[in-house]
Amino acid sequence: MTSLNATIHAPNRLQICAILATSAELEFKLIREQLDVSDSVLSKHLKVLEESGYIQLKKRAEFGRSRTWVALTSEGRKALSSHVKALKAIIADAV
Amino acid sequence: MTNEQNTVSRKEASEALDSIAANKHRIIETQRPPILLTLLASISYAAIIFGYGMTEHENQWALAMVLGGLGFAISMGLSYYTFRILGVKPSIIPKSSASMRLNLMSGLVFAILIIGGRELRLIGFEYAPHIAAVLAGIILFGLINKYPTGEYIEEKTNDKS
Repeated sequence: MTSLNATIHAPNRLQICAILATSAELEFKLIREQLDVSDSVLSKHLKVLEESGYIQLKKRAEFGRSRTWVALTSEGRKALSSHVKALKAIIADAV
Repeated sequence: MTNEQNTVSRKEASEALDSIAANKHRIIETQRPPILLTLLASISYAAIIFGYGMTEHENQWALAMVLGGLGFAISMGLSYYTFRILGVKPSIIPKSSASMRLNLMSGLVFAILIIGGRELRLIGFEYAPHIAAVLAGIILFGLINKYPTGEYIEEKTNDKS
């Protein structure tokens, strides 16, 4: 049986992984606006995910300013998928 | 995470799945290209299919195909530029297996419409390119609206029953 992933299970980190799964890369500012959190809170969560190898951060200069892009790694996608399966299993088991 | 898994109730798991689905759909809303751009892409794509279906030894329909290709390239380029400004990099190559299946299925349907439209006209079904072009335009419009970044998003992650 697939188990829940402690790193991903935290609400904000789960949301970060979920929205990153919709695209190849998302900008830091867009994620912050979607989650409605401060820069420091988001940075803290991103650092945890980056250290686990679930996301990749890239800084690029575009449109005359530096932008930070965040991408879910293939390992991150697998972890999110397993976590979602585990959540579904909990619901199925409880029925 | 065995201990935590034991303490996660069905309600909490259900809420977590609901929030994943809600966030994905919310971000998709922000990533949807402007309706006029989607319309331009769909009409241009339909023009390519119609032009290909009607072309006979480089007649005027070949021009429709070229203009359609140009319109399609412009609309896709503008969509990509809009995405980048908004802070989104869409997937060119699908990342998940569900997205890969969606892209392969769409490719197959468009291939059938392109080839079918022309071949059916050649064997006497005069309006085949018209129908193929309209269908392709509608399908592309729906796909861009529903999956703007090229990644498959589930309708509903959780069954609350």
